[in-house]
Amino acid sequence: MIKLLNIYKLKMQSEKSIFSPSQLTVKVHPVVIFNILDHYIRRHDGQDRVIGTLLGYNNDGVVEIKNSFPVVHSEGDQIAVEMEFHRKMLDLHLKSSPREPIIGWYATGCDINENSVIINNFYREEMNGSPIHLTVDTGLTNDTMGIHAYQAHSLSEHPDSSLGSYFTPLPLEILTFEAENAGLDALTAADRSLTATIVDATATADAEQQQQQQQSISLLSELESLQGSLGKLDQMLDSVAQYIAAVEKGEIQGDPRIGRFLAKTIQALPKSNTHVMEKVINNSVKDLLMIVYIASLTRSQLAVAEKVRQSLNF
Amino acid sequence: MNIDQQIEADFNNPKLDVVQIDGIVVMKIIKNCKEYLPELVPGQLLGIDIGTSLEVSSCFPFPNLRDQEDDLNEGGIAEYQLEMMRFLREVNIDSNTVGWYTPTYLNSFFNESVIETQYKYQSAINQKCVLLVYDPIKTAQGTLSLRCYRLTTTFMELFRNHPYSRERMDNAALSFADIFEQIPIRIHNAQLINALLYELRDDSISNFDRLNIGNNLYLEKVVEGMTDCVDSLSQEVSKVANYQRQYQQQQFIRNSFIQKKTLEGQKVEEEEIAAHVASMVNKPLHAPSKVTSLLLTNQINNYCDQLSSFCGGSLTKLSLYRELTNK
Repeated sequence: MIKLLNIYKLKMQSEKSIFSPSQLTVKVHPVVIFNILDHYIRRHDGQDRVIGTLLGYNNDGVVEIKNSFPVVHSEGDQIAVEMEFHRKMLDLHLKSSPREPIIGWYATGCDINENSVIINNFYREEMNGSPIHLTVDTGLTNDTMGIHAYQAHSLSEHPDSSLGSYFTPLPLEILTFEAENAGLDALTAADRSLTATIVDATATADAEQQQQQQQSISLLSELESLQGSLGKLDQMLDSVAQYIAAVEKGEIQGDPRIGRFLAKTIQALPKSNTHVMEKVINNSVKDLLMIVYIASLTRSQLAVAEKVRQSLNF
Repeated sequence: MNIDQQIEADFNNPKLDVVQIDGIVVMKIIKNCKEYLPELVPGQLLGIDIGTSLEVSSCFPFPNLRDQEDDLNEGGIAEYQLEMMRFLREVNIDSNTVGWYTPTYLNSFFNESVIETQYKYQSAINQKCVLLVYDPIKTAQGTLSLRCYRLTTTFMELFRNHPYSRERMDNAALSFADIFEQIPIRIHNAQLINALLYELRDDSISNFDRLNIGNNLYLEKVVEGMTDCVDSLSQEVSKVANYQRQYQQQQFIRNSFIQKKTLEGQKVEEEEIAAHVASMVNKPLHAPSKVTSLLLTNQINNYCDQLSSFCGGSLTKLSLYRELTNK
């Protein structure tokens, strides 16, 4: 008996060292959340929550969730997940992106209930490993879009035991790359002008109509987005300056970490000789003007060619 | 007018004012494109057309041909599309094809295969089908570059009741602006997505990439692309000149033959002339295709647009910088 216990302990330890919950970090791309929300919006009538499969990979303890797809399921007296649908969909996704295997599953809502445990077991069997579980609170409880990641740990050693499992929360980050940033920025810009118009609109009947029209916003031009970026930069500098002023006056206690960070940032600025910079700028301006000239020259050549061709045709 | 008639009237109306794209489609295109780089893998757009607008609400990528070592040909892709759309319908996603998207470098997409594919979409599925062009290079600089195109009605008229062919395009008097028309894009987000964006805005989105002053690499690439195009265009011009010279030569041979025969008092048959001309020159004449030069012209025009807009932006930034340092 003691021997058995020892083996059990050993097993626990080894398992712990591999699956230590604190070691896993989850990074999720915004497109996954977009997908989940879209799925929720398109749910069947009377359906409380939706579930789906997460695709991505585990990179030495950093789980990157890159994609997801919806799965049909029903919860009532009995829980049913259409595993056939899931497998077919997975096949299709693997065909277009073979480097994204199944990594877990998502559900909307903020709680984890008994059904979650059952679904989790489905997925455990599907992927031969312990799945990551992502929840997105579409009900916006506490006025936030609660996005959380969990990993289930079985309470008993035996996988089929009915003792249940507990879900440990994992640290979660939203990960974006450059292009995604630009895309999100374009989307938020649309959103920004939307809220602006709603605020501006007077509280009359046509406010709603206006909102209907403003639901969709055209993409901002380059100049407009530049203005936006500069405005934001200005705002950030302002808040930094305010903070420094407040610390200098002794109104608030300065945080040495922020101070060091600011000093580092200022050091990172290149020391530019005004004279040299002036020259560099002038040169680039000349280059650019030259290219503008060439571009318009080419365009006028094209117009001439077009005219010649037209006069030959008739 | 009942709803069926309305739908039919909308379907037959070729007018398309605006394309409304869901935020999720934008994000998916960006993501898929990033996954496959440097390969440029196109995909399908799903949505619905309402009146004179088109709503794009979902998309998925085609399987990458490079990754499939075995038998995945045209038929395989078509099957993949159908299957994917069938499954998407089960989860209430629009399963109606409204066009396709393709990532390109520097918007260099004016080529025959693109036109042919787009023609197939517009003629076989719906004349409102569009092509979304996404430029990852431009987007990496901080501003989303997404454009929407479709073939003009003039162009579609040209091939009505005729299969697509190069010859037909040659014979038509098309100008370079007659092939593609650009359609304005609007972005639409569901309220829940807006809520998510609102949350993301606070922490993660701080996009200052576009404040970069020097982007000479991009500029060089565009100018390089344009120079290549101009080179090819001048090659086309020399081909045409060559053709003209040979044509004149043949005309000369032909005329002198006819003259000779008439002087001898004989009547000449057309076949006889043709046979004589063929015996005199060693190869028959082929008129160079007008399509190539048309497409090149279109591409150059596109490059010019990109250059002027980029230079405009850069000049603004430089003068801003100068003002700031002078202060």
